[in-house]
Amino acid sequence: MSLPRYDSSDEQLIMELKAAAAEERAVPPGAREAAQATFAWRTVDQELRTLLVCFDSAVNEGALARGPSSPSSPRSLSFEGDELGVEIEIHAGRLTGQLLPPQPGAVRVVSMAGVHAEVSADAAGCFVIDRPPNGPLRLECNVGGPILVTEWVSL
Amino acid sequence: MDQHDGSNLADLMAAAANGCQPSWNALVDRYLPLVYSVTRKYRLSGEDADDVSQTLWLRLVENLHAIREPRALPSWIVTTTKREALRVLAARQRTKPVDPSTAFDKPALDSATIDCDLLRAERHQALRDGLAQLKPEEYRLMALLIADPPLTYAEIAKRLGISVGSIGPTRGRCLTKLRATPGLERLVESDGVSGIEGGDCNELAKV
Repeated sequence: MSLPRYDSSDEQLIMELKAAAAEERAVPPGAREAAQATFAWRTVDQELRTLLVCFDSAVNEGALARGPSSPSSPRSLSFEGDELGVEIEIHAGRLTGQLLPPQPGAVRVVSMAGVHAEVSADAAGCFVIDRPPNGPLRLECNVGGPILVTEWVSL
Repeated sequence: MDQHDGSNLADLMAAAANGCQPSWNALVDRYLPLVYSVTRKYRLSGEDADDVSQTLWLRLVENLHAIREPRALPSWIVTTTKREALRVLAARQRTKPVDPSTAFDKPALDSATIDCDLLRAERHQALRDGLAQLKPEEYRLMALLIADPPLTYAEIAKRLGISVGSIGPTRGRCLTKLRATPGLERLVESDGVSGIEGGDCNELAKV
């Protein structure tokens, strides 16, 4: 059966409306409040600069295309902005990262629960922390000047 | 099923971008079913689906100012949720050991099927938005006509205090209105252009 056309019969449209209503009922309890609460993260600070995801091994290597899972391979993510890039790798219970171009700085790893870790990047821009729990995560990098904040990504 | 306030999407987005929590809540109410319908296409449930949803909303909070065309919001939500679902799916595949006895029980997720499902999810969103734009009395009738479990015309007439004979004409008028919902027309047009009516989608569609 194909996607209904504009001139689909009344019965087909009713079936679609039922499916649409069922999706509304299928939202798990608690999801609404949790989603509403994300508004607290709205930033009014125009000084923040965003670093965008430019590579994620989870996406770029194609989760669907890949065959059997490969538990041992690390997850790597790159963020990029005009002034700074950050690369992170998550493997074996640790998150290792590097500021690019290499430079010292302060890095905060933030989850919705708050600051997960605050760490100094060494002269080569490198830092290591324990793996944050699953869920949304972002990095806030201070290399002097405005704070550079990554997009939120699901870990 | 509740009728959402039907406010203009552009107004809601602008107000939320300026810090209006009730407008944000209205956006959440309107699009949460869309987000979870996408995570289900990727067979994510429980905490994994919740993680994707939370990331989506955090992303939207950041991008309220950046989305210039409000009508593009449902597509933006589908695309962003899809990307985050892939992240979580891949991350969980890495960390969960594969049980060889069940590894092949589920057919592999097929991206053509999913793309087809995602179009349908967006279309369902357009239908929900269309329902919300109906007059209150029309909306009440449609809600009962699509209720689960189904109701007879006699039961519906009794609940609404209307005659059984008036249900058919009102139903027809509502469906005509719904077919003219802007988002719905656009999605059907794009279906035709992308040739989504062809092979894979026909065979695998479930609705």
